[in-house]
Formats: sequence, structure tokens, C-alpha cells
Amino acid sequence: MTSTLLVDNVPGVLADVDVTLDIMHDFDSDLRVRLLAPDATSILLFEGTGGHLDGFVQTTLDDEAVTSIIDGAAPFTGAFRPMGTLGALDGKDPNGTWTLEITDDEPANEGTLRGWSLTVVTSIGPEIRRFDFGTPTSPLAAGHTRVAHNTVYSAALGYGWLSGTIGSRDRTTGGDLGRDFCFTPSGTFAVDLPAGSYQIDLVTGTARPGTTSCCSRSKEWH
Amino acid sequence: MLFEIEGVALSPITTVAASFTGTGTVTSVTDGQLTVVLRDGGGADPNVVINSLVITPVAP
Repeated sequence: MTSTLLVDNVPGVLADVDVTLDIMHDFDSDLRVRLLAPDATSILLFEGTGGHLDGFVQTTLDDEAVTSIIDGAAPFTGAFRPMGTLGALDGKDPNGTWTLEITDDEPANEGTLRGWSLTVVTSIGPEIRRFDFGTPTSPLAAGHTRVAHNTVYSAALGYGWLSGTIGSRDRTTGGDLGRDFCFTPSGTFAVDLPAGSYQIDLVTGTARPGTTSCCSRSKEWH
Repeated sequence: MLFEIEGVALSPITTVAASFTGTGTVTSVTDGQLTVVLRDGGGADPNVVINSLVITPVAP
């Protein structure tokens, strides 16, 4: 089945998209749910998750959520990262008909889409700033500005580390964004920007483990 | 690990080996400079890792 929403007269281009939905179903893992943007870009929200349990209640699919939908459980209330990447829609026109496509692999179990909504954040400025953190010589992701441990803030540069003891590593595996990183126990990074509102997205993690540690609130390998 | 954007703390993040976590927020910059603070969240390893940062102007 499909359901559509019309977005109209929203200025700018997409900077962030979240989907909230409410589905009643007898067997969650039967379902495959996709979001189709107005330009027909298809994003897999989830499939085969939830096992034999029932329903998705006020479930928000959000790239910035801490928990993946794969790790959630019925009724999936709250925010979860989708299986696909909604960020693939960034930069696109939000206006037009959006479609939620629900496929049920096992017609023996019935379900109902009780409702769904979109939350879109749009960019009104032409300049999106992208920073790739790593070592002074590790590969730089396309369209990004390099930040290494020795990228000290200056007014002339307009960005950099304001404070802290900063380190950097290149794990030499994974993509250009993920293979390298900066780290610090306490540091401040600054970017000069005109006054205004901004969507801030950051990624943390490593492509492969180094040393290990374990704790109750934070666990990191570097 | 903890991130603070313009003085506002995001939800603490716990990562697992060989994985990545994204987080974000919408914030207002009023003083001409965005600040991102990385701070130990209390774990055995005090270091906070950052791979990438994307800043997108949005409608207020």
C-alpha cells in the first residue's frame, strides 16, 4: 500500500528529514517501509525488524537518533535511525508529493497505517560547511575542509581548535570520512559563522578498534 | 562522550568498536562563532572522537 503527503511552498533545500509513523500490524517483521521523495528517491526506512511483535507506535526515523531501528523493539516508540540514509535527500527540493510505501511479505497478517508525518528542515543559505577531521595527511573527503590535530583556530582561517590537547589518527581502512579522526578528552572547535540558525550534524566513531575500554556512560576506541 | 553545541549538551553517546554514530541539533549563532565542545562523558577512556561536522544554514 502507499500513502502520500503533499509539501508545498517550503523555501530552500532539504537539510534534514525525519519521518514519524504509526502502524498497527500483527507481525512487524513482515513489513518493508520505504519513503519516496518527490523526485522518486527511495529511502528504506526499515524491513524485517521487530520479529513477531506488534506495531510501530509514534516511531520516528531520524538519521541523528542514537539507536538503530534494527536494535529497537515493538512498539518502537521514540526515535530510531532508519536502515537507509535520509541524509541522501539533503540538498533536494522539499516540495511535491512524498510517498510512504508499505509492503507486507506475508498477506496472512493484516495491518493498518494509522498515520504518518514528515519533519523537514530546509537550508536557506547557499553555503553548507563540511569538515573532515583526521591527520594532516590522511585522505580528505570530497567537498570537505580538512581539520587535523594541529588546525589551530585563527581569525584568518575562520575555524579550528580553540583549546584542548588534540590528537589525530588514520586507521587506513574505511571511507575518507570514517577512516580518520581527531580526539581529545576536552577540547573546543570553533567556526566563524554569520548570525543565524544552523543544522549541526556530526559523526563520531572509528572504522576499526584500537585499544578497548568499557564504561557505563562512554565507551570509545582510538 | 559528550558534545556541546553553543553551550547546549547533546545526549551522551556510547559507541561500540568499529562503528559510527551520528548526532545533531539545530542551533542559533548570535555571536558570529559556532563552538563545539568535546568532553569526557565519564568512561574509562576519556577521549572523545570526531570524524565529521556539517553545518547547514536553515530557516529560523
